Amino acid sequence: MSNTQTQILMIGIAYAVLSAAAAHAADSTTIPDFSSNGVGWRVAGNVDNTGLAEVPEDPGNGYISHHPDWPYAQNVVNRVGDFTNPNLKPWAAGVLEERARKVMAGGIPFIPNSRCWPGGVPGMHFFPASVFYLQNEDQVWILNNRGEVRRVFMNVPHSEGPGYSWYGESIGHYEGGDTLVIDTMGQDDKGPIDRYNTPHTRQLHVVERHTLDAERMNVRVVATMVDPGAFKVPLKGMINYGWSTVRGSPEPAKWEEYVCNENSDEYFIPEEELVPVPSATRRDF
Amino acid sequence: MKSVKLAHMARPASAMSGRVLVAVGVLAMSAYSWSYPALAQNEGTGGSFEFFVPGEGQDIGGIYWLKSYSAAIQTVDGGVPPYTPEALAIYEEKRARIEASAEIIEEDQARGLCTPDGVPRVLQSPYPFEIVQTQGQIHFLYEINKIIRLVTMDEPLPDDDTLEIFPWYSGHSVGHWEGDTLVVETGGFKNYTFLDNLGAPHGYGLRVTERYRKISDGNELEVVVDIHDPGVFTEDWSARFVYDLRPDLRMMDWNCGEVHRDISQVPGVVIPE
Repeated sequence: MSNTQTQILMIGIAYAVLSAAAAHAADSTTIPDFSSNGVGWRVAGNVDNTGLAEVPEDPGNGYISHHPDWPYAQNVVNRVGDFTNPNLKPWAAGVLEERARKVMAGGIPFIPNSRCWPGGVPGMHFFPASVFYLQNEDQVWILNNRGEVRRVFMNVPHSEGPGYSWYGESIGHYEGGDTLVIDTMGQDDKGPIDRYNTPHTRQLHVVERHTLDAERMNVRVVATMVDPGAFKVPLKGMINYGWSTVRGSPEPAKWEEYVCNENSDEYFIPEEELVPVPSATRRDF
Repeated sequence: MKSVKLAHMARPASAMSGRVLVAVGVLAMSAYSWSYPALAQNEGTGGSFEFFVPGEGQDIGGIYWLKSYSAAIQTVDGGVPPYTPEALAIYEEKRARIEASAEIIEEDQARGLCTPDGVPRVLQSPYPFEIVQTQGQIHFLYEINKIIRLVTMDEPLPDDDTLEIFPWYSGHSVGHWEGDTLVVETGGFKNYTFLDNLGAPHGYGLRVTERYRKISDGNELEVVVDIHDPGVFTEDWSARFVYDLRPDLRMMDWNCGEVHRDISQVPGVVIPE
C-alpha cells in the first residue's frame, strides 16, 4: 500500500469512526417522522381478527386469542375469545366466557368502538380507520377519522392522580431515532384490549412502542399490557400500520370526515342484543 | 419554538480491510447526505422534516376557552342576524322548543348523538378547544363531541360540485395567513347542522370565512366570522367570538351522554335544571 493509499485509509477510518459516533448521537436525539405528509395510516396484516398479532422475535406471553375450538372465520364463525387462556385471572376468564358463550349461541360479538364508543388504549388501534400523528416538541396527537383523539405528553413523568378516563394519561419519549414509546395509565375499565372484549381493570398499564420502518412505509406498534387485576402475566401483541389508500384505488387516503354516530340505525341485529350508540337526552348547557 | 431535525440515520461503516476500508471511508464521508428513497406518498417531507415553526405573529397553537357564552348567535354589534322571513319562522319555531325544555329536540343531532356541531356553532361551544399547527395543516380539536376539524393551508377550496356531493358536518376548510391573521374559508356543509345552539338554520349554500388573530398581548384569540348564505339571510353578516388562551388546561376525553367538564364558570352558561 502506498503512502497516499495509507493516508486515505487513515482518513477514511477516522471519518468512519466519527460518523459512527455522530450517528449514535443522532439516534439518541433524532425524532422519527410519523407525519405521513397528511396521508393516513391504516391497520394492515393482522392474522386472526383478534386485533393483535404475535411479535415474531419476542412473543412474550402473547395475548388472548380466539377459542381453540372456535377459530374465527369471516361470515362463518364469529369472534369467540379463549376464556381458557391460563394467563387470565378467574374472574376475567369468567366474564370472557360469559361473553364468548353468547356468541357461541349465535349472538353478536361486541367491542365498544364497533358501536361508536371510545376505543381507549390499545383499543383505538383495532378499527380500520385512517390514523394520523401530529408531532410537536411537547406533545404527540394520534387521531383517527372516527373522531378519536389521543394526546401524548412528551418527556414528562405521569402526573399525580390523573384520575380515570377513556384514554387515560399517556406520556412518551423517542428512542433510537425510529421509535415513539408511549406509557399509558389511568384508563377506566371500558375500552377494549382486543376484539374479543377481554375484560380488564383500571390497573391496566399499557406500554406501546411505535416503530417507523426505514422506508417510512409502515409503523409497527408493539403493545405490552400489564394488569395485575385481570392478567396473571403481562400480555403482548402487535399492530401493523401501512399507508392508507382510497378504497379500490392506489391513491393515498388523506383526511376525510367520518362520523360514527351518523346513520347508526341497525336493522339486522335484534334490538335486545344491540348495544346503543352513545347518546344524550338532556342538554348540559 | 425550537426547530429539531428529524434527520435520517447515518449508516456507519463496518468493513475492516484494505481497499474496502478506503471505499468505506469515502462512503462514510457522504453518509449524512444519504437519504431514503423518495416515497411517492410522502414526498413532501423528503427526509428533512422539522417540527413546524410558525411565522412571525402566526403562532396560534394552544388550548382556548370561550370568554363569554351566548346560546343565540349575534351579529358583531349584538343584533339579530338578517334572516329571511321564512328562515326566521323556522328559527323561532325551533328556538321555542329548545328553550322550553332541557330535553334535546330530535333534530339537534349535535346534542343528541354528538355529531359535529358545524361552523359557526362550534365556535360558541362553552367547552375548550385546541389548535395544533403542523406543516401545511392546522387542526382544530374541539373537546365537545371530540370534533376534529382539518384546515388545509394554501390550497383552494374544492370546486362547488365536490362541496355539494361530499358535504361534511364541519365543512371543507382551507386557510391562509394575511399577516398575523389566519383566514379560514369553509364550504360544503351538511344542512342539518344549526348555526347556533337555538336552532338557527342554514342551507347547503353556506360559506363561512373565519379570521383568527391573537389579541390582548397574545393572551386571547379573536375570531370574526363572515356568514354568507343567500338562501337564509338577506345579506352577509358577521359574528365575533373571543377566547382565553389556557395553557393551564388539559383537554379531556368526550363520550356522548356522560358528565363532562364543569362549564358553569363560563359567563353566560346556564346549566338546565
